Amino acid sequence: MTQSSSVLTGTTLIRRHPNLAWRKYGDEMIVVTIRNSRIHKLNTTAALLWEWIGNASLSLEALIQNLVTQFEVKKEQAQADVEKFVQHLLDAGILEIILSRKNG
Amino acid sequence: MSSPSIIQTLDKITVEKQTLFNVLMELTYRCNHDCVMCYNAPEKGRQELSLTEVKSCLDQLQELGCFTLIFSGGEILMRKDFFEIGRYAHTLGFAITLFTNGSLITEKNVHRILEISPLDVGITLLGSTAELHDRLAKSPGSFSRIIHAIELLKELQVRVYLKGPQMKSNLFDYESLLALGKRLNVPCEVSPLITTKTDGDKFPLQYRISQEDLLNFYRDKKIYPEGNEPSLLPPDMERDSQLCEAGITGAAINPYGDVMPCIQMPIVAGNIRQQALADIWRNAPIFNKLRGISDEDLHECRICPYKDYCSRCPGMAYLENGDLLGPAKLFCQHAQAKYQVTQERKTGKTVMANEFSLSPEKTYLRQEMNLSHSCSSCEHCACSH
Repeated sequence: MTQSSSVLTGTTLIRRHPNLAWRKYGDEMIVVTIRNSRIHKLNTTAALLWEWIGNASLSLEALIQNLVTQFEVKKEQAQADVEKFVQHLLDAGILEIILSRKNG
Repeated sequence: MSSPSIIQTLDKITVEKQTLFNVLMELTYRCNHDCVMCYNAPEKGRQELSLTEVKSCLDQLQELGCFTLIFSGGEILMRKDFFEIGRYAHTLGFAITLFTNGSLITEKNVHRILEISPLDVGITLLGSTAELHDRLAKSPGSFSRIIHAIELLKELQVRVYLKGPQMKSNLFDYESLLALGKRLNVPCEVSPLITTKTDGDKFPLQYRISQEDLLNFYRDKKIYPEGNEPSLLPPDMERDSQLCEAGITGAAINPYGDVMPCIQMPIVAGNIRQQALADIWRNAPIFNKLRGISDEDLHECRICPYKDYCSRCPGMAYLENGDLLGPAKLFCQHAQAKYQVTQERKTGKTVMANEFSLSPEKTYLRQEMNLSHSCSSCEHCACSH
C-alpha cells in the first residue's frame, strides 16, 4: 500500500520512495523526484528524518523516539514535528507509506 | 521545500568546491549498430571494466559527490550485466540518464529499465523511416524495434527523448523526424554537430553538412522560432568565465577505466584500475590545468565578434588542432551561421552564404593579435590563417 493522504499514526511504516535520486552537499540534502523531475532541498529536520529512515522502513513511533532521545524535546512536540515533516515528504513523493494501521 | 534556485545553488556549491557533479560513463564500445558517423574509437586488446570494477567506480563517484550520471556506449544493453549496473547505481542515489539506440529494449526487459529509475532515456534515431535509419545505422530491422521500444517505455511512463544527428545523408528528413517525435509524443532534438572520432580520425567529417545547408537549418523557424534566435546565450544570462564544465564539475570515463575531462576531450587523466578516482580528480595535471584557465586565456576566440553565438567546445578544438584554447572549425561555422541568421531576422534581409564576409573584423583581429600559430580551422573563423 502506498498512499500520501493516509492518517498518520505511530504504527505507520514509511520508507523512501523508490524513484528518487539524492545527494548531500555539506548541510544541503538534495532530492530529485524522478516522476516529475522536481528538485527538492530538504531542510535540516526533513534531512534528519530522511537519514534516519535510510534504506529500511521505519515507523513514525521510531522516528518520534529518535527525536525525543537526540534532542531532548517533549514527546508531544516531537510527534507534532514528525507528523508535519513526514506529511510534507509524503506529499512531495519523497517518502511512501508501506503499512498503515489504525490505532487501538 | 522546493525552490527554482536550487540548481543555481547546486551549481555554486559544486563549482566552488570543484565537486565532480556530472559524469558520462561509457560502459562498452560494443554495439549492434554501425552508424556511419559514430565517434567511438575502440582500442584493440583492451579489456572493458568488469562488473566489480564498475561498481567500485560507482562507489567512488558517489563518495566524490557525483549526482548526475549518464550511461552511454557503444550500446549499453550489449553488456549482459547492464541492468545490474543500473540498479546498483540507482541504489547509490544517482540521477541517471541512459543513452541507447533502443533496439535491444523489448517487452521482456523493459521493466528492468524501471528498476533503474532513470530521469530520462535518450534514443538516437537517424531517420524518420526504416529505410533511412536502418541504412545509416547499418542495422536492418532496427527502426521498427526502436519505435516499439519507445512505445514500451512510454507505456511505463519513462521519459524518452529522441536524438537526431543531422548529416548530408539525412538532412532532407529532419522535418519528418520532428513530426515523428510529435506523433510518438516524445521531444526530439535534431543537431548538425558531427565530430571527429575520439582518436582524432576525421572519417565522420565527410558526413557534415555544408555551410549553406547549416545556414538554412538555422533559418528554419521550426528549429529556431522567431524571437528565439540561435545565439548561445539568452539576453539575461552572462557567459561563464570557465571554458566549460569539463574538469570543473564534469568528467567522462571510458569502458577501459580511463578518466578524461569529457568524452570530446579524450586526454587521459588517469585510470581507475591503477589509481583512486579521488586522486585522479584532485591531482591529475589536465584537471588542474582546466581549472586554471578561463575565457581570457583563449586565443583568437577571446575577441571573436561571433563569440556570443558560439557554443565553443575546447574538446573539439583539441581534437581538431591539438589546442584546447584555439578555435574549432565546426563551431566557427555554427557561430557564423547563427550570427547571420540573427542579423537576417533583425534586418529582414536575406544574405546569401557566399556574400557573407568577416572582412572588417578579420582585419581588426589581424592587427590586434598578430597571430602566429598553425591552425587548420580558419576557413571560417576570425583569425588570419
